Amino acid sequence: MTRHLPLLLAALGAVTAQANSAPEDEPLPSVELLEYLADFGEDENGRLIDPLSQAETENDGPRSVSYREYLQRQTDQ
Amino acid sequence: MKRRILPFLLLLLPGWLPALATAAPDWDQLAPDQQRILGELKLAERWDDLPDARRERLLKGLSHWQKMTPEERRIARKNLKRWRKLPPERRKALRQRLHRYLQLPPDKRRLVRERAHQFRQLPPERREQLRERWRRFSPSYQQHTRDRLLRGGHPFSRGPMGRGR
Repeated sequence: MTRHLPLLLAALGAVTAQANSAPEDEPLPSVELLEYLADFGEDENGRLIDPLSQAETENDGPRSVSYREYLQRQTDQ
Repeated sequence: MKRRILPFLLLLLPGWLPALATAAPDWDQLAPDQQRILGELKLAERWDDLPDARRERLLKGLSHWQKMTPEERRIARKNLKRWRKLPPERRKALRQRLHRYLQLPPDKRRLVRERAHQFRQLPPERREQLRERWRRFSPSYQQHTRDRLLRGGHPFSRGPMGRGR
């Protein structure tokens, strides 16, 4: 039994190390998300500010028309 | 000969310095954490070929990501879906608005937030009326109105988002 102790300890150490280095559950950001986050501003307290916070409403952007209609209007102008 | 060339070289040097200072880091210069995440995004192979501006942007986004809490990250993922739906010119306008907002001192920013909150409380038709009125203002009058708002006045005179002008 004493002979097996170092092996057991070594195995236990390996398991613990694996648990500590386990990848985060959280998925990694996509390239698109990183590009979006690059547009975030930062105030003097280091607080990040989403450019969408400057939008007037939840549905800011093309309101009540489809994006295709919206683009069409832009082209017509 | 060398003496004559030296002043020219010294004159050229300041011009080169900003270019050297702003060059985005190559793959080998990235921190292990940055390499790990960008590598997972399959950027390792082509990183050094990406334009400097793109690399800077990705690194800025990554640095923001690394500062965020899990909850902030969750919200950012959700907001990305909304961002994606906006046309490019609207995104550009929001970026510019944020840039202007961040240049204001904290007390003025608070004022802008309060006014924006009041505006959002208005019924949709009233908001549309005000937007329409805003669009009819000349650029100089729009600027005058912004200045008035920052002095504590209401963007539209007479009452809260009033009936006036």
